[in-house]
Amino acid sequence: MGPDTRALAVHLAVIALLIGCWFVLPQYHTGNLARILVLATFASAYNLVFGYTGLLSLGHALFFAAGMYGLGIVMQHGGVSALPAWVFGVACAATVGLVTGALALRTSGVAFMIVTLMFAQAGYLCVLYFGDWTRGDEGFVIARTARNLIGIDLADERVRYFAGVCLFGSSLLGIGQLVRSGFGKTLIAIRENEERARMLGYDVQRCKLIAVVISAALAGAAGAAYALLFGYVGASFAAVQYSILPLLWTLLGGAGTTLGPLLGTLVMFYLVDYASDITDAYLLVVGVALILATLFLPQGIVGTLRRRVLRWLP
Amino acid sequence: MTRPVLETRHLSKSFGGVDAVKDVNLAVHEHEVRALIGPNGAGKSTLVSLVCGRLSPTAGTVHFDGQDVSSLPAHARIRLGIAYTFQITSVFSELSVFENVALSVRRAIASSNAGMRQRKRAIRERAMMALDRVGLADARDRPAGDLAYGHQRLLEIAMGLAQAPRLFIMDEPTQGLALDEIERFKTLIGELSSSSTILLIEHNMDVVMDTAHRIAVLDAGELIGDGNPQDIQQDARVQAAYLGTDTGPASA
Amino acid sequence: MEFGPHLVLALLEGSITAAVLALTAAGLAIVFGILRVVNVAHGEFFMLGAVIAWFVTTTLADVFGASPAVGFACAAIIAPLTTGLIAMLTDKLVLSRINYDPERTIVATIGLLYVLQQLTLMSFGPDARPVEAPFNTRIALPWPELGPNGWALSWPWGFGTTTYKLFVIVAAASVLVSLWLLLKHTRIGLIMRATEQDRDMATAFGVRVNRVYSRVFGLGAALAALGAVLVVPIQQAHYLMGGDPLLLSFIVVIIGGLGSVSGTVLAAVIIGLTDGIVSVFFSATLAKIIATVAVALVLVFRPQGLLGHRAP
Repeated sequence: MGPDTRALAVHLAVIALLIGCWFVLPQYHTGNLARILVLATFASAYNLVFGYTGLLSLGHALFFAAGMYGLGIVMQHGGVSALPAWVFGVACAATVGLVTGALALRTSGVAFMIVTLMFAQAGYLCVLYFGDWTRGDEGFVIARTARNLIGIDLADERVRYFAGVCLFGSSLLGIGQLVRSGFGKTLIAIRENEERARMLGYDVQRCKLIAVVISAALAGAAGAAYALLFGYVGASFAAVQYSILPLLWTLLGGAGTTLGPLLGTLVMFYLVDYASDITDAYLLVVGVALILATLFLPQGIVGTLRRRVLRWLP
Repeated sequence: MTRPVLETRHLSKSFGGVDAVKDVNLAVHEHEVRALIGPNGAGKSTLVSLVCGRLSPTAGTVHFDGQDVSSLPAHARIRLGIAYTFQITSVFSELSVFENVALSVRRAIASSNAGMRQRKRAIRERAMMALDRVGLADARDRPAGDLAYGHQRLLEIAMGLAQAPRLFIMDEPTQGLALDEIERFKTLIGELSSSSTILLIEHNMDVVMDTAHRIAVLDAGELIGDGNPQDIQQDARVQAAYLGTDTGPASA
Repeated sequence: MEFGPHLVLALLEGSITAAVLALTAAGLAIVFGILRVVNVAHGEFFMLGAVIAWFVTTTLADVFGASPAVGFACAAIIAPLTTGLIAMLTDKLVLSRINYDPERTIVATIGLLYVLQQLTLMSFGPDARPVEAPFNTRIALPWPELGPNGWALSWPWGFGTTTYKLFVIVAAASVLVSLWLLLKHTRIGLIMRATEQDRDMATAFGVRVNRVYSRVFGLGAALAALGAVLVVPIQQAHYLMGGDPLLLSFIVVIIGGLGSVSGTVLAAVIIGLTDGIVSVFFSATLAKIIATVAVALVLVFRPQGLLGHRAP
C-alpha cells in the first residue's frame, strides 16, 4: 500500500469507527460525540491554516461565528430554510475569510496573531452592538420546526449524530486529499520555509490566502451546522475563547496531522466536562492544558506518535 | 557573442544611506558560467537578491532575456526561468528528499497543459533525474532535515536543476561540501553550461578557476573587474581589493 | 450640565484612564521591547494586583484595625511585589523553558491567563469587591460663565473630582518618570538596553541574560499590578477585570511603536483621553469596535506604530 492509499484507509476506518460508536455507546456519550464532531470539524479547519500552512491565527472564532450568524440571521429574520441558510453561512464565512485574510496576511508572525485577534474581537463586539439582529449577549434559539432538512428533523438525536459524522467525515476526507495534493505540499513547504517556496516560483501570498479562505469556509460550515443541529446561536461562540479553543485542540491532538484535531477536541471536551462537574473554574483545565502542551507536547499526541512509533500516520 | 540572458543597468541598493550595491552594470550571456567574487560584505548576495527580486533596488533596472523585470515580484521572475539557491541551506526539512525536488518540478511545469497522469509521471521522472545527477537518488524517501549538511546543499542544487532554469544563480554552493563532492559539483557545472546559464557566487578559487568562463569582481558594492579568469587574476585593482582584504580560502 | 463642563469632566476621567493605562502598557512594552515576546497574561497580572490589594487592605483592617490609608500604602508595596514574584516564577517555569520563542510564548501565556484567572475565581470568588480609598475628599470645580454682569465663576452641580483621583494621576506620572530614569540613567537600565540591542553581545560581556529577562518580566507585571492598585479604589476588584486593560495595553503598545516606552506613554495619554471622551459621548461598544479595527489596520499598514519610527 502506498502512503496515499494507506492514509485513505486510515480515514475510512476512523469514519467507520465513528459510525459504529452510535450502536455501542450510551446516549450521553453519543450526544457529546455529535457536538465533538462538529467542533472537531472547526478544529480541522483551523489545522489547515495553523498545522499545514504554519499561520498561527488567533481569530478563527470570527469564521465560526460568521457561519453561525450568517445561517441564524437569515433563518430567523428572513425565514430562509435550512439548506440555503447553511450555504449562506458558509459563503459569509468565506467572504469574511477573504477580506480579513487579505489584510492580515500582509503581516507575519506575532503581528499576524495580534491582527487576527483584533479582527475577531471586532467581530465579537459587532455581535454585541447589532443586538437588534443578533440579540446581543443572550443570543437566540432557532425553532425546532425550522431545523429540518428536506423533511428530516435535525434536532433528532440520531440525525444529529450522523449529521456530525457526515460533516466531520467529509472534512476529514477532503483535507486528507488536499494535503496530499500538490497544493497541500506547497502549503507545507510554505510552513517549512516560506522564502524557499517563494524562490521556487510559488506565489506564497496567494497560496496562503487560498488556505485561509478554505479554512474560513470550513470553520463557517461547522459554525452553521452547530447552530442548525443544536438550535442555538450565541455571542460566546464569537468570543476570544472560541479562537483559543481550536488552537488548543489542534495543538494537543497534533498540528499538521489529519486526525489530531479530532483527538484533541475529544480529550479536551471530556476534560472540561469532567472538570465542570467539580468546579466553576473549569477553564483552569484549558489553561493548564495549553501550558503543558506548549512545554511538553509541541508535536501533539498524534504528532508525537507519528514521530516515535507510527511513521505512516497521515 | 550571444545576447545577454541577464543584464543589470546602473543597479544600486542602499540600506539607510550605506551603499551595498553601487551602479552595477553586469551582462551575463547564454551558456556562460559567470563567477561573482569579492571579499566578504562586498555586496554579492545583495546583488543577486536584487536580480531575483528578493530586494527592490534603490535605482537601476534588471533585464532578463531582454525583458525589464524590475517591477516583477520574486516568484514571477523565478517563473520566467531563474533558479536560485540560498547561501544558507534552505530545504523543507519535514518533507522527503523526493518531495523537495518534486515541489520544484511541479511549479516549473505548472503552466503545461498535460493531463493529470502525464503530469504525475513527468514530475516523478524529472525529480528523480535531478536527484540522480547530484547522487541523492537513494535518499529519496528520507526527510530532508535528516540529511547531512553537505547532502542538504546538494539537495538544494537538485531543486534548482529540476526547475530546468535558463539562468541558475547559486550563492556559495560548495560551502560545506567534501572534496569529492566539490569535484562532482565541478563536473556538474560543466555539463549544465550546455543547457543553462550560470551565475555563481563562490569563495573557493579552485572552483572558480576550473569552472568560470568569466569572472566579475565586486568590492564595496562596486564592480571593479569583469573579464576572463586570466585577466582577472592579473588585474592589479582586483588583487589590491580582493587579496589584500580577504585572507580566507579565497587567497589560496 | 452643559457641554463645556461635561467635556472637562470627560477629560479628567480620561486622564485617570490614561495614567493607569500608561503604567500597565509600559509594563507590556518593556517586556516586549527586551524579551521580544507578547505577554497575553499581562491583564491577569493587573487583576492580581487589584485582588491582592483587596486582600491586603481587608486583612489589615480586619485583623489589625489599620486605617484605609495604612492599608492602601501597604497594598501599594505588597501587591506589585507579589505579582512581580509570581511573574518571575512563571518566567522560570514556563517562558525560559521554551526559550522565549515568540509564538509558543503567546500560546503559553494564553494558558497562563486562564490559570491565573480561574485560580482567582476559585479563591477570591466571582464577586466584585471594593477597596476603600486612603483619602477621598470631594473638590468642586468652578466653571467660568458669561452672565449679564460679565464673566463669573459658577459651580455646576456634579462638576468636580476627588483628591484621590488627582493623586492617581500624580502617582502614575511619578512612577513613569522613575521608570524612565531607571532605564536611561542607571546601570540596571544600561544592562537592560544592552540585552535589548543584542542578546549575544550582552552575554559575551558577562550579562546574565536569563536573569535580566526574568527581572524584566517581573517588573512588567509589577507595573501592571501597581496600575491596578491605583485604580481599585475607583473600580472594584473582580476576577475578570484583566480583559479590558489587556486590550487597551495592546492598542497602546501597538500605536506607540512596539516596545518604545516613551511612545507607549504618549499613546496611553491619547488613547486614555479619547476613551474618556468617547465613552461619555458614544456607545462604549462602538468605540471598542473602532479601536480594535484601527489597531489591526495600524499593524497591517504601519507596523512600526503610528508614533514610532521605522526600525533600522
